[in-house]
Amino acid sequence: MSAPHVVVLLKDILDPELPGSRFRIDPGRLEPAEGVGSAILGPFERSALELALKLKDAVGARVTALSVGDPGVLDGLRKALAVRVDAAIQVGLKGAANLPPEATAELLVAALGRLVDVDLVVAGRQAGDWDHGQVAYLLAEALGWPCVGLVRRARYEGDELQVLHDHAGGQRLVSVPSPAVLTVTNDDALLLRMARVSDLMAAQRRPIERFEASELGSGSSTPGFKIADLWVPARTSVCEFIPGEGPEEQAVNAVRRLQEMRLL
Amino acid sequence: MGVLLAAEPTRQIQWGVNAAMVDFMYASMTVALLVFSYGVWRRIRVWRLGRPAARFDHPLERGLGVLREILGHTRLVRDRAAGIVHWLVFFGIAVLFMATVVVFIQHDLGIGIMRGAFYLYFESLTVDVFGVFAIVGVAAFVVRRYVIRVGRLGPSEPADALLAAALLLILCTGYLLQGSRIAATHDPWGLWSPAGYLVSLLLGRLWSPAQLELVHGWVWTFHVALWHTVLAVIPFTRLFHLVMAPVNLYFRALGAPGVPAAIDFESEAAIGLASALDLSWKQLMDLDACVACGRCEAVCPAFAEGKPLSPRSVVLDLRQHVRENSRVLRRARRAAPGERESLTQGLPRLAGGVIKEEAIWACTTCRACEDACPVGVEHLSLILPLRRDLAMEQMRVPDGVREMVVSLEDRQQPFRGASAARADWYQDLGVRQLSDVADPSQLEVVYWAGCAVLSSPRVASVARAVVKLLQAAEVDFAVVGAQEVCCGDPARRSGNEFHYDQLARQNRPTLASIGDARVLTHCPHCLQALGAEYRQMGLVLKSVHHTELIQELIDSGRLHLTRPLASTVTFHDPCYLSRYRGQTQAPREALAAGGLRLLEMARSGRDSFCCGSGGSHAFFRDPVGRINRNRAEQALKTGAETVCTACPFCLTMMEEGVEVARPGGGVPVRDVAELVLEALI
Amino acid sequence: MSGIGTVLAVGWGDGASDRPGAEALGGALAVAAKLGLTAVYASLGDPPEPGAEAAAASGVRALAVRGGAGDAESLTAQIVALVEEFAAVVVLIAADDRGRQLAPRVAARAGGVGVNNATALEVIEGSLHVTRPVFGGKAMCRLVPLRVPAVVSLRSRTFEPAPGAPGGSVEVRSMPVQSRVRLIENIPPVLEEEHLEDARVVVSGGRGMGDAEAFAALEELAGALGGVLGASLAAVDQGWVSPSRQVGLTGKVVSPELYVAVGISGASQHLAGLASGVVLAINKDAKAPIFESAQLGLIGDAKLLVPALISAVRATRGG
Repeated sequence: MSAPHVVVLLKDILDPELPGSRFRIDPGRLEPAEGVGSAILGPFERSALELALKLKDAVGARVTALSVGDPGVLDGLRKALAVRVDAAIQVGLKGAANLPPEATAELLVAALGRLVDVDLVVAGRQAGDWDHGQVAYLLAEALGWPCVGLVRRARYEGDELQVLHDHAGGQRLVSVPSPAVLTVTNDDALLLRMARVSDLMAAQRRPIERFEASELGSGSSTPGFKIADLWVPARTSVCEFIPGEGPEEQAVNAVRRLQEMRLL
Repeated sequence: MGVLLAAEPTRQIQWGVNAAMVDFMYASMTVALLVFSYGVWRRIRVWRLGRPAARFDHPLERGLGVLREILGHTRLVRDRAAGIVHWLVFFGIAVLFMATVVVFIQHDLGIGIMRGAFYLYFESLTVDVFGVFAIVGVAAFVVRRYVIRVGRLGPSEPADALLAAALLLILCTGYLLQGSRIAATHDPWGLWSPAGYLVSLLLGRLWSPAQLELVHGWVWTFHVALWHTVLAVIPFTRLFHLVMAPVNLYFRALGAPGVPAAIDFESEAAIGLASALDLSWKQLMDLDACVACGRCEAVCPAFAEGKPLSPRSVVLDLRQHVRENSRVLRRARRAAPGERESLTQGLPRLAGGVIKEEAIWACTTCRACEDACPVGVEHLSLILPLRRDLAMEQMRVPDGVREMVVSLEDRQQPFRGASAARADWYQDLGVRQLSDVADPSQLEVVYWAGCAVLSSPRVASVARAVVKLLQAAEVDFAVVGAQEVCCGDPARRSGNEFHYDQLARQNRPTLASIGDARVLTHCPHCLQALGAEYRQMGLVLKSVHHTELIQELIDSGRLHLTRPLASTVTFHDPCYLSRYRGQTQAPREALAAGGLRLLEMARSGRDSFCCGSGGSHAFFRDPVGRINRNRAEQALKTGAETVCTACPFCLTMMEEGVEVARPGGGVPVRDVAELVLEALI
Repeated sequence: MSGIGTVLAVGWGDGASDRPGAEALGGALAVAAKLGLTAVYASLGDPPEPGAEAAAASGVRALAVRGGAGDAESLTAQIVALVEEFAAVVVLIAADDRGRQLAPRVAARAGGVGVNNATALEVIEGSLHVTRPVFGGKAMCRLVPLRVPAVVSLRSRTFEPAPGAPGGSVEVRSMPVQSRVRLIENIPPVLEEEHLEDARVVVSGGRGMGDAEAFAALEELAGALGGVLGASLAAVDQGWVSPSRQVGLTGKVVSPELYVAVGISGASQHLAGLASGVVLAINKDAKAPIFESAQLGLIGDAKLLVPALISAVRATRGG
């Protein structure tokens, strides 16, 4: 069997660990305010990338990183190049962070159409910004490919793709025909590997192919929903700090308080 | 023989020695020198394997430093007993050697210096006394090694006993020679060699002058043969330090200590220590200079904790690897690059192979080892490049370091999960930010808070205390604040030199704008980076630690401490302040000015014992054993009411250590700034 | 949305309790009432009958569907068939791992739009408005689906479970569907005394715990409090605890009466997994964001506080 071609879907998102106190909304645009934080590769995308790279280690899979994004933001693609993906492609589109899921999926279908012999598409289970958790599934439906969600492990047994994923509180090991779409969840075995410095430096110079969204001939999809409002909920709770000189006294006071609140 | 009273004081050279014996002496000396030279050449051959190192600058400063060490034994006496013994041996043998040189000048060069007052005071008295010093010293060494069995000396080899025996024999036969000559010739100036004279009294009773002459001849021959043998084997034994110590000390690193070599990533092929071919000649020289004295191991906090790191073993293991494989390495060095790979591929990798990974990561970069080494071995110049290979080439780092690197990449600060923003800690203090100041070079001081203020409110409160002191003293200052990115120290010390480089470059324009103003920081790691290491990229900054500034402000009366705190305190010197910066006095003076009485720990000042969080250990998931708890015990043992330090990492570590040792126990840990502030208002 | 069509609620009916399905039905009844439509319930569990029976007890038409492979592939096909049969304009499903995959897939195949993680559903001037958390819970968003069917997955406790009433019957349906994905091995969930989502008390540990051993102490505390151990994403990523313990936007949603958050900063999407309950936060950092959401706080080192709490709790329980 020739080496499978795996496409990893990447997205740069507003730093998910941005402190809540710094998060602000631009009320006019119903989006996070400009410059409130930097855009970095999302956490589930990193897991997806690591899964793809493990397939590369195991069976020599060819890995292409694909990202629909703001033309200026390339953090994820550069990181992907630094960990030695074989190719990186950006579909350039301004304001892609808030593109509706259907439109994103449509662009990705068109972009995939320009790639040769894709055997597997791997994506994070959701992007940590808008948290829709839809694009990968919409993509699978549009392509008509089988789709398995919340994958933790994947391997090729000969030509057969076997995948371990979460299901109903437990897990299942399943066999998936190619081509297919997988969504990946966080797992301690899927922490993105560190890049070798020589690769990090080379990544700065490796080319990133650009597809223009307008050229991909999409835009026929109509948005599925309209955003009516976006707001930061007011924090109303005032925390009662339990006093005590030292842990023993604190613990005793805490237990007493819990009993008073009838939680114990 | 008797008429010599009126004559000038001198003695007959080679008395009681026949021509054959003299011939033997010249012959054996020639052989010994040849063997010695061969030994030295073999070592030089290895050094020539090494990559270049720029250590040929400032010859005068270098030479003076060597002289200072030789004459003053400054490093050696830091272990007082051993230092004194070494002084006895060294000067004993040095004087005896000079005596031999005098004989050579007199006899072979024909210059008549060995007479008169010089002969009496130097060649007789001084030499005789120093010879006794040498015997006492060597005997003391033997007692230390074989009777007391001083721990740090490690296991003894047969060569050690043989050398000691040889030296004692040479020395003792020397007195035999003196004694027999004095007795047989009824030397009128015999008393000028007191020990020799005593021996002569004994020998004079045993044998007749004719017998003494015979004994003298054979003992002389034996003495010469033995000393020539020792001379010949010097390059092959630990005695090589006679040559290596001054040479290695000459080529030491000048300037601020502990600055790792920078890497020009554009041009460098090797970015870490992968194989022995990556070592510089200076590093190879370091390996040869080591005498396995174990002082480094004895002061290493990781070793004390039972971790697999011994600084001595790192040096000796690398040395053994180089010596065992020197033929292959030499061939590989001469070969073309492609062939070089195939020649060295059978060799174990240095990081992880020759030296175990756990040993490489166990180091907290406290520099106690380098500071203690009498022959100037630069241990960190070996350990940090090994880490670079592990981190940047092999990508094998401890858990926690990976997270730290990701945090540096994504957020330019090393504390994963910290949610504070850089400007948070000073929001309500009414301070100016650097970005709001039109001409920063006019400021007295620019305050760099560092990343530790993001990690906990405890550290942020230290920064706030510093600001309050600056405001009380009406210092014209601004905080760098939101423009800061991590100084890069955690990256550099964990071998992630590339990330350090990126971060430093990001900081450069911000700091370049401050011109002549001093950059102030309360974190000794930031101090080292900004004050010493950023010079490597051409940014020369004037730096000041907050304890230094506080002391200045107190001295100049700008800070007037009106409420002396009458209590006792013990000061834990941060490694990066005491051993890197060389600053131990300023914090103590500040504390004393605050009315505090200092109770010192056994290991304090330049000898300070690490808190355990240096070398990026603060970010490890499993920090090296519990070095901090060891240090906390040391602090509590002083009985001081407060534990004081001057570094945010030390602060965190000491608090944890003290809390574990005395849970809820009421011994607070404070920064110098906090105590001075208490004494102020 | 006019008076034609239905609101379809879907549940799994797994085992004895189908709380998620019952909540979906509760939501369906509420929405249907506002839209002037009828509610229908389909149970697609294995076996499907118990869930369907519970729904029938609420007086709605209840179907027990058999014949699928139980995976997303076949469930999608079955639900789409039901959507077509019942002309569903709104489909409500629990926002658990299965539901969140099914919502977009069913919507795509049925030509509608999917919305995940709804925490509120309102009908305003005849339109459905869905409120959901975004940016890891740092913000809330209200959106309006523009097509039918709107396939919405509901966070737990968004609606009350449908009340039971006697009467109603169950239709058993056979919808055989082949899945393209072939099962090799099923690894059932680790049996616990109480399911995390149903627990009355949850004790969760985060990055601040430092290592796996520290979780043993937390488990002990959970036991002493009569609760279950949970964890944040960071702790799972470190391998300190099994992923089945993860609470959060991409983990389980819990609604205990008491939630003890130990060494959790509260800055991430973790809190989005907490549907209700009094939060007692234990953290070294008094400025940690968790204290903005907690009602009770203990500032100190967890390594010392947790054992102290265990002793204090055991003392009150007389043991």
